[in-house]
Amino acid sequence: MSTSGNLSVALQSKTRNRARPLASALKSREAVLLLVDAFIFITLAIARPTAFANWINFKAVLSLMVYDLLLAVGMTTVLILRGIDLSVGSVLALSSVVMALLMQAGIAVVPSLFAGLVVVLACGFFNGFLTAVVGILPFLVTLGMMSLARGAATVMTSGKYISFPNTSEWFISFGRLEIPFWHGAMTYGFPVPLLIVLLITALYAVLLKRWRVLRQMFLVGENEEAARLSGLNTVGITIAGYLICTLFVWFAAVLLISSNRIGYANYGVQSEMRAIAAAVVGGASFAGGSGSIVGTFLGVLMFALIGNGFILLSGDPNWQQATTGVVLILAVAADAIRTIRDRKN
Amino acid sequence: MPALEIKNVSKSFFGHKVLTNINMDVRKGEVHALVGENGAGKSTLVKIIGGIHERDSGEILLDGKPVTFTHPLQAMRAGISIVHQELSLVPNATVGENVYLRREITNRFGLNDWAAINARAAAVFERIGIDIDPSDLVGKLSVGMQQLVEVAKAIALSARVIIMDEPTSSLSENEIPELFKVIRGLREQGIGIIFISHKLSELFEIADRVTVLRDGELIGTADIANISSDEIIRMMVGRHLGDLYPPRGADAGEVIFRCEGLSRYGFVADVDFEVRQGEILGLAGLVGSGRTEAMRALINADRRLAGRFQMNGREIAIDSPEHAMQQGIYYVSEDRKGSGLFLLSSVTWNIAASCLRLFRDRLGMLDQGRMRDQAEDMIREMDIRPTNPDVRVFDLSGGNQQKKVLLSKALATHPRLLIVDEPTRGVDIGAKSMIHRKLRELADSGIGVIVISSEMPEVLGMSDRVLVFRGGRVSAQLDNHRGQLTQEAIMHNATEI
Amino acid sequence: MAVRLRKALGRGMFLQHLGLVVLMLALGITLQFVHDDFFTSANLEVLAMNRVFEGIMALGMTFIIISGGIDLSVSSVFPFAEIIVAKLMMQAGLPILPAVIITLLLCLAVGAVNGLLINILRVYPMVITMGMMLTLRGVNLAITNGHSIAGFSDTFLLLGQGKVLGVNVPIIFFLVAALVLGYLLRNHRYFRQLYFIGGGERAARLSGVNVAQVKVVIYMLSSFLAGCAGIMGAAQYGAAHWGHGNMSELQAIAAVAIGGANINGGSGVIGGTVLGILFLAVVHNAFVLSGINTFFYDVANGLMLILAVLFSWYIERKNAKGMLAVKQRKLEQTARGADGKAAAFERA
Repeated sequence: MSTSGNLSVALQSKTRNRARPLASALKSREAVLLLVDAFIFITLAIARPTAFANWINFKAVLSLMVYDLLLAVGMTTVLILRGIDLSVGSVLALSSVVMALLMQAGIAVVPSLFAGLVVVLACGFFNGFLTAVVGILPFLVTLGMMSLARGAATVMTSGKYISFPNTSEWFISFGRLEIPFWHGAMTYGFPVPLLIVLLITALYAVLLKRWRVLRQMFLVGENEEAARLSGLNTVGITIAGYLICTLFVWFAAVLLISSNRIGYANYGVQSEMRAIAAAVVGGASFAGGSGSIVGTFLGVLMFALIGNGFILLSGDPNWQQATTGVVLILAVAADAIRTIRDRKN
Repeated sequence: MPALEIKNVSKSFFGHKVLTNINMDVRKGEVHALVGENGAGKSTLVKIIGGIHERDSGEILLDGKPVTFTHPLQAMRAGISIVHQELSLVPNATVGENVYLRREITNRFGLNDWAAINARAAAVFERIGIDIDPSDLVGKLSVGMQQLVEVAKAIALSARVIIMDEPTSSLSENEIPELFKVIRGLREQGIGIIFISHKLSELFEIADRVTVLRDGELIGTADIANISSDEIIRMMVGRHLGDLYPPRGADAGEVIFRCEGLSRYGFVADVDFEVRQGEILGLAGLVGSGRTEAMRALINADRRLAGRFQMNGREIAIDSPEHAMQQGIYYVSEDRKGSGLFLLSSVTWNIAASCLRLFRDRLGMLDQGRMRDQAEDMIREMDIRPTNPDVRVFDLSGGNQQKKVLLSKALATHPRLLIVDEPTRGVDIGAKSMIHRKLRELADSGIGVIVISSEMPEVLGMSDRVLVFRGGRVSAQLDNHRGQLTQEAIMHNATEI
Repeated sequence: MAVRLRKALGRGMFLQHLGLVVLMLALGITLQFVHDDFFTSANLEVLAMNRVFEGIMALGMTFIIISGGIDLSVSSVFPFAEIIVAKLMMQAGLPILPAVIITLLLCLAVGAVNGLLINILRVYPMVITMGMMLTLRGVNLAITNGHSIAGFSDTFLLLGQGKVLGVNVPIIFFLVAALVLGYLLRNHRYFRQLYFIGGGERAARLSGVNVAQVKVVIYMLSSFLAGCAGIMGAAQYGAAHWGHGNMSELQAIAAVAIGGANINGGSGVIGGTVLGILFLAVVHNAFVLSGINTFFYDVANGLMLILAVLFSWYIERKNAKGMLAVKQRKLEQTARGADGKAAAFERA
């Protein structure tokens, strides 16, 4: 069979319908995480039936989760590319500050949000450019950016809260909007911002898997040289990844200032660590080439449930941080073992 | 008594014999050249002598006593030192420290006695007649000087046998005589030197005897005074070719691709060539002669200094591997694991990696079903086993299958000019002939094919014409159909006489 | 004589170090000119004390970076030491000396864990020390419930606030440590191995270096130094708090990078690190004296790190270019006369 035949025609004429084997549908790590989350959920439900298993509590947990989720999704993207972005928390703060200052000065909501977007994209481009074109370790680049962004935000605000009381009402109340739904005799409200974030996350998860442009990131992250020789635009794809990461940071910033009604230079302190922890737990690897949005979501959920658990069970949220650290080490260890095993062959 | 004797040494790697019954001896105070083409077994032999690999059978005698090394340090302490092509010095330590690496002279507290170290190092330098300050940082020295420091290191270890692996490849013109002066000095002190080089002119200048290896076997040893370069070449390549290769195509057609003035800073200069329809152009030459560098520069995977290209008579630009692919030029890397395949991804993804655009559905999403179909077609066509397209490339059983997947990736893009770098490296006989047949089929169907190969039989069997590279330039163009293409001709033009 | 002096001073990074010294002097003189109070002993003391703890950590960091690794956990070991020594004295009622010893032993243990994990898992010291940093931070927060611990005895406070010959104790510690460590790095064969490892772990191992052991030792050293800094920090601030030392690991890394070490390993000297931290301190002081918003300091810090890294990268590229130039010259020397030989063969 000659390969110079018209392959595309041949492909289109095939109408095979194959059932995907069950094994590949159930990625083991995501399944494990789901079980872990379910386990924590059930444990808490049994231990604190009234305090935990009610909608108000769930709503609180989920609503607080969105910021970490968005940052973690951005971080997952960058990890897939074998990079890292330590500046997510600082850029979050910077963006919130810029947008808040503009709105405080009387500028309308939409242009202010747009300005915030431009700022984050500039930061993302800076990160991506130095990493992909100049070739400096992303760890160092984003370390520097972390300082720069946080410093800039602090300078602009002198550390003060920036409120914008005269802004359009819709923006401020957006954070409190809820969609009502009924279950039995009770009426509940599902927060709209949460709904939007979940939808965006789900959409991104699909795009990451199926859209050629994004899927290429896995190849670039796994083996950049092979990707280059395979004809992929590795520089463009890498920069795009860092831009996407900061895009998610912007989403988080918008939601944050809408909900808290202030911009603040100390937002997101140490949030990059939580984002990395969730992403790595969810399946991303520092070696690049892997990462799962579903896994990241389940990872963020796990940390949120653990934190909630600490509060409900002992009233002491302080051990939560330590737990995050331990979980991160365990996840990293598992990732490292996986990498060694792969390398040894 | 000779300084070093090698008796009936053999070695196999994974069932593949790389050295068969090698017998060789190095006398005290002699420079013994070791030559052979790529893959002849020189570096394996050297590694066995130096304790990096263990031999399977045979004996090695040092000063008449049998020795066995399981670690390079043992060989070093026994008196065998290797000066590698890639130097193993520590750039941010001083010269003296490097010479006495891990054997520094210290006082009671473990503090280096710099004065003593420097004095001893200076003494060594004086013995071999060079002038380097022992307190300089190694990283600041030129490559030539660094190499001399490596030699000094060997002396300091009281080496009785020093092996030099292509020592002049990184030296500039004026550093080479300096090195030779030192080597002559070593010879006078009764040290046996094994000198590996492709530059036959050097052998005639410095060596006393020469041993030729070919395909892991000893072909012969002779005094330099009694042998000519032609004879050496004949020993290096003279072999029976057999009928492994598909019949060569008839006269070639139009020029598909033309390249003029291809240059890459430091690696390649002024390479011109043409590829015609229906012909396979082979690129031959020794390792490091610039073939891979030239092709990578062609697609601008590494930055090109100069070069003009024409495809089917029209002038084109090639700005990047991506751009090259869009115009139908595809380069298949020689290094399947490092820069060729995505080991952790499936066969399907690997094959589709270069042509993902073909699999867009209406929404722009990737149709993985069609990707799998293509993979299955390729698996059938290239006889890839196992036949499951979802298998990770990493889990494929080694060279044969992985190479086929790599080729499939290229073929899936329907290139007009296919450049394959070492198409059958790491592949066994059966898969080799399959790949050769495929390449011939491609050429016959009108696609231009360039093959880079370090295996002489492959070059001769596959190519219609051959470009011989030497030192970054094309030293000869040989046409098979005019009977110019012989092993001797290739080797003659590939080495520096 | 001049040559010997140069070698003793810079060891190849002379130009960079000289540049730093010149810059610092220039800044100092400018500030003295403008504000008239740079070169006062009071100001110099403030300048030095401002970065002394980061400086102590940077000394340990130098060793680790030379060997090709990195230690992000120091910024959590610092408050960890503060808290442990505080708790031992205030809550367990131990006298100063046992409390200090136990604290330092615990810090050594933390470093050992870092080193062992890095050896076992063999990948990404960055990540492992980051995990350790997070964990310790969490522990610090949890065991103090976010509160400060204060009320130390006057004797203890001397460790941070006391002076010897008019110089603060932490500064003396830093200088002594710098001298000792610098001397060891320069002259002790065990520590010279760091350069071997940084130049290539595999080659080092083949040369007989016990890479695993050396790594554990230097990570222990790093945590030990961070612990010492923490104890003196608690004394200096008069309180132990989990938030102390925040971002100090970045300062330490920046100091090492600015001092001329290659972030990827293989080069660097203690003298460079000392200049680096001094440089950071002078810049900070410039902000303070000028009344510029000290918040700009973070911006400057980030910029300086990026500039230091860019400079490193530039130097590496220049070196690589140098080697290529030799090859290019060889290439140009070979005449096109090869064609003559090919012609001869074709005729045959």
